[in-house]
Amino acid sequence: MNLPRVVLRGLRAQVRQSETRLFLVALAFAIAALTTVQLGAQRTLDLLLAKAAEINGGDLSIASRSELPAGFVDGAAERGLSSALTLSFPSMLFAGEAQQLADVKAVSAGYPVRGELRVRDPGAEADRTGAPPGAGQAYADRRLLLALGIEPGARIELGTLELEVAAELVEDPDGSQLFAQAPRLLVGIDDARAAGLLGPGSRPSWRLLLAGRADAVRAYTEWLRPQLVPGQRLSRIEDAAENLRSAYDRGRSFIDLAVLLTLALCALAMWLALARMAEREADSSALLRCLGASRAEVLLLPLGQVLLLALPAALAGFALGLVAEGQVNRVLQARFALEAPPVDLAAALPGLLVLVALLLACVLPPLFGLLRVPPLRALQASSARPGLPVRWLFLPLLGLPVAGLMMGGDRTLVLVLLLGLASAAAVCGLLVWLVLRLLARLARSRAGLTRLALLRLVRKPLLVLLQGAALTIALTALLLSSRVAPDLLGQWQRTLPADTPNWFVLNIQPDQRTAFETELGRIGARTITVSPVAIGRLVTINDRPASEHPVADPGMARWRDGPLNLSWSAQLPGGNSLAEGAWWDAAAPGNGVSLEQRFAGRLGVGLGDRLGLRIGEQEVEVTVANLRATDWDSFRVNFFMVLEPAAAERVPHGLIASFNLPPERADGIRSLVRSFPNLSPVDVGAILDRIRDLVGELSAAARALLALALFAAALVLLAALAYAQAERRREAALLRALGISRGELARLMTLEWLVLGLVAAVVASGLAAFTGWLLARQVFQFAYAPGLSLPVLAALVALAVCALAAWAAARTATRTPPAESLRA
Amino acid sequence: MGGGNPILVAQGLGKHVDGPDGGLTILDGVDLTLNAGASLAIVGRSGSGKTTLLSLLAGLDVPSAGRVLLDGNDLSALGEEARAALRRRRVGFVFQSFQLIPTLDAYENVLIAAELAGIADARERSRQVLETVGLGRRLHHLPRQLSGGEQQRVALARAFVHAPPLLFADEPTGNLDGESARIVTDLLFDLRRRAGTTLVLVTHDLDLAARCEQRLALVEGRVAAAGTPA
Repeated sequence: MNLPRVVLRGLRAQVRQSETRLFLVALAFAIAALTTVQLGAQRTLDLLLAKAAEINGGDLSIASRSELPAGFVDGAAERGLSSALTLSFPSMLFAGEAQQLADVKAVSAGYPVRGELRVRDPGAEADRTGAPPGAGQAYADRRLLLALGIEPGARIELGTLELEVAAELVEDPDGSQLFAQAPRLLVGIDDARAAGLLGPGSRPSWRLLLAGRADAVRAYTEWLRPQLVPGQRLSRIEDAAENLRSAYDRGRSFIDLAVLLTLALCALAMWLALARMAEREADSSALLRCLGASRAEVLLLPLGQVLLLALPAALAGFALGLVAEGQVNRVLQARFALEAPPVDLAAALPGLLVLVALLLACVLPPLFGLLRVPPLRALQASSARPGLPVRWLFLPLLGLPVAGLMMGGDRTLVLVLLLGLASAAAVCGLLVWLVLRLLARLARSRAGLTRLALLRLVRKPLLVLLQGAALTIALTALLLSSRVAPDLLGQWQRTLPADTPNWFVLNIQPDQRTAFETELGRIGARTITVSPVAIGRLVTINDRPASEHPVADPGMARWRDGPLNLSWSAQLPGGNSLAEGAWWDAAAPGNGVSLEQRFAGRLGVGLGDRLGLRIGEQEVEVTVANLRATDWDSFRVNFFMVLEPAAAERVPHGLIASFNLPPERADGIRSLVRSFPNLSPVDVGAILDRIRDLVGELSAAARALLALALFAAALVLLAALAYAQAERRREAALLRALGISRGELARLMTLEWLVLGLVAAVVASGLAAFTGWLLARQVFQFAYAPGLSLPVLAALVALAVCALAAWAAARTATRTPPAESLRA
Repeated sequence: MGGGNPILVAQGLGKHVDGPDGGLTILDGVDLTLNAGASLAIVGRSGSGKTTLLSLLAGLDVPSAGRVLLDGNDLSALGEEARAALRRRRVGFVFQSFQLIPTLDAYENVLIAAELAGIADARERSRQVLETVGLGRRLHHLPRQLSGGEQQRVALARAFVHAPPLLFADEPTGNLDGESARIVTDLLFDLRRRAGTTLVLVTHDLDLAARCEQRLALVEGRVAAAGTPA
C-alpha cells in the first residue's frame, strides 16, 4: 500500500469528522495558551518585575563595604545595562546650632535606574520627579528637616562642605528607606567624596544599581558572579524584600495554576477525541488487516493524518497566541506606562516545540489501541474493541508533570494540581463503580424506561466511567477556575487590608512605651504592634564557631557572621504560624528560640540545634524549639529569630512599633517626633502601595488566564458528551422505530445523564474544595475555607450540562428519521 | 392489489435525495394496497429501492412524493411523534442486522417492546414468546453472546410480543446461514399465522418471497411487476 498517498487521500474525510475537529480545536487552543503564556506571561512578569524593581532600586544590585571596581560599571554598559552608583554612610549634620545624625546617601548621574526620585520644591504643594542633586546641593527628607528645624532652601554642613537643601526628598526608589534608621540626606557622589568623610574608620556602603532587558541582566549576572570577592553581595529583585518576593511567588503561582489547568484540560479533550477516532477507525483498520496491511500501516494511516492536520492547527494556535499576547501586552503597557522588553521568539521557540511534542505524545496513546485490532473484527464487529495497553498511560502520567515543570511551574503546584485532577478521576471511578452496583440492584425492581435507563448505564461501565471521570474533571476544573482561584485571589488581596501598618517607629526606649502608646492612640493610629528588638550576633552553632558552620546559600553568610535583629515573645507573633515544633509553655520557662522556617533552611539549622548568641555584652545559649511560617505580606514587624522571654532577661534592647495611620492624619507623626525626639519613624506606605499595585496587577493577569482554563473545561465537557454519541443515537433510533415517544426518549436520556451528572457534581465539588485547600496551604500559604456555593454551583452546572446533553441527544434522535440513523 | 380490508396503501410514493453528483431518484411512483392478514414480498436487486420502500411504508422515513395510509392513517399528515405512537401499537419490525440493544439481554430486549406496547403481563409474555422461538434457556444472554440466528430469533420474539397487526421484515435472513435462515423463516411464518399479522417482507431470496401471497418487484425504484407468485 502506498501509505503517504492513502494518508493524503483520506485527509478531507478525516477533517469532516466531529472528533477530528474537536481534537484540532483543543490542540490549537492549547498551543495558543502555551504561546501566550510562555511569551506573554514571561513578558508580563518581566514587566511587573520591572515595576517591582523600583522597590529594589534596580533589576540587580551589588553591595559592598568598599568601592566597587570600575570594570563592573563598564561590563554593564557593554551589555546595554544602565547603571548608577550609590554610597551611604552615617554622618552628623549641622544647621546653625541644630545637629542631627543622618543617613547620607550619595548618588551618581543616572540615578535612579528604576522608578522615580520624587522631590518637593521650596513652597510647592505638590511633588515632582527630580534629577539627582547638583553640585553643592542636597535633598533632605521630612524627618531631617523636622529634626534640624529647617525648610528647603536652608544651608547645612556635611563634613567640610556646605550644601544648599534644594528640595524636600519625598520618595527615594531604592527600597532602603524601609531599613534606614536615621533621617536621610541625598547628595551628589562627587560632593560626598569631597566632604572628607570617607577616611579610615568610616563605614560606607557602596551599591551599584543596574537595570535593563531580562536577558542582558541574566548575561551580566553570569559574567559577574565569578568575579565577586567576599564582601561583595549580588541581589536580584527576587532576592530583595521578603514581602516583595512573597507577592511575586504567589502571583507566579496563580498564573502557573491557570496555565497548567488549561494544558491538562486540553490534553484530556484531545485524548477523548482521539479515543473516539480510534473507535471509528477500528472497523477500517480490521478491514485493512484482512486485506493484508501490517499493524504499523494500520496505525500510521490515522496517525499520519492526525499529525498532518495537527501542523496547520498548531501554526494557527501559535499565531493566535502571538496575537493574544500582543494584545495583553499592549493593555499592560498602556496601564502601567512601562516599556516591555520585545518578544524573544528565537529563545522561546525550542522550548515551545518541545512542549508541543510532549503534549502530542501525551494524547496520542488512544490511537495506539489500533495496533491491537484483530482482522476478525471485520467479520464480527463486536469481537474485539480497540483496547488501550496500560503501559501507554505512563505517557500522560509522566508527560504532563514534565511539561508543567518545563514551563517553570512550582513543583508543589504541579503536583497538587495533577494529583487533584488524577484523584478526581480515581474517586469518580470508584464512586461510579459503587453507584453502578447500586443501580444494578435497583434496575431489577424497576420497569419500563427507568429500568432501560439504569441497565444502559450498568451494562456500559467503562463508558460511564470515562464520561463520568471526564465530566468530573471538567467540573472540578470549572470550579477551580471560576470559584476557588478567584476566592484565593480575593483572599490574597485581603491580606493587605486598609489598616495594614504603613508606619514603623524605631528606637523606642522601654521606659517610653506607655507614653508612646498613649500618644499613638491620640493621633488616631490603628493596628499597633510593639515588639522588643535587640541586635545580636551568632557566635556558635551546636558548640562550634558559627563562622565554621557551612551554609547552603552563600547569601546567608552575612546573617551567620553579621548583626541580626532579634526579638522575644511569650505568644506566637501575629501573622505567623507554627510550621514545626511546639510554641513554648509560659509555665515552664526555658531557653528556646523560634526561627523563621525559610531562614532556618537557608542557614542549615533545624529543631533541637543549639545556637550561641552575643547580645550586647551578654552571651545567651538557646535551642531551636520551633520553626515559624511568616506572612511577610502582613507588613507587621517580623523577625527571623524570636527568643523565649526567659532567654532574653536583662538583655539590652529597644522597642520597634508598627501601626497604621490614615494618610489624612499623617501630621500626627510630626507631633509624635516632637514629643519623642529620639524616635525614628519610617514611612512604609509608599512601599505598601507598590506591593498593593503588584498584587492587583498579578491578580488581573491570573484572572485573564483563568478564563482560558474555563474555555478548556468547556472543550472537555464537549468531548465527554460527544463520546459514544453515535452509539446512543443508533439506540435512540431503534427505540423510536419501536414506537417510543419524544417525551419518553427525553426522560430516558435525562435519567441517564442525571445519574452521571450528580455523581460528577458531588465528586467535583469535594475535590475542588480539597484542591483549593491544598493549594492555599501548600502553595499560597494562607488559610482557605471553601463556601457552600461550591457544591451548589457544581450541582447547577452539572444539571445544566446534563440537561443540555439529554436535550441535544433526544432532539437529534427525534429530528432524524429512524431509518436514516439505523442505516448509518 | 386486492379489494377487501386494506391495512396498508401507498399512492404515488417517491423518494429523491441530493447527492454529490446532483439529485438522485431512489423510488418513483410506487402504488400498492395490502389487505389485513395478507403477506407481501418486495423483491429486487440491490439498490432497487426495496429497503427505502419499506422505511416509507413503516413511517421510519418521509417520502418526497405520494402518501402512505397505514391502518387508515395518512402517515404524511402525521408528525414523527404521532407515527411513533402508531408504530408502538400497530407495527413490528425485523431488521437484517437484528438491531438489538447491545446493553440489554435477550429477555430485556423483548420486555422493552412489550412494556412500550402496554401489555399487562409483559414479563410473562416476553418469557413465553422467547420460549416459542426456542430461546427459553438463553433469556439472560447479551446479544454479543448469541449467534446471528439466535439474535434474529430474539428480534422475532420482540416483533411478535405484542402481536402487531402489521410486521415489516427487512431481509430477515440476509445475514444468516442456510440452516439458521430456514429456522428463522419457519418461525416468522408460524408466528405470523398464529397472530394473524399482515407481513411486508423485503428480500432477494426468491424461495422466501414465494412463501408470501403477493409479490412486488422493483427495478431502479419503479414497480416492474406486481401480483401473486406463480
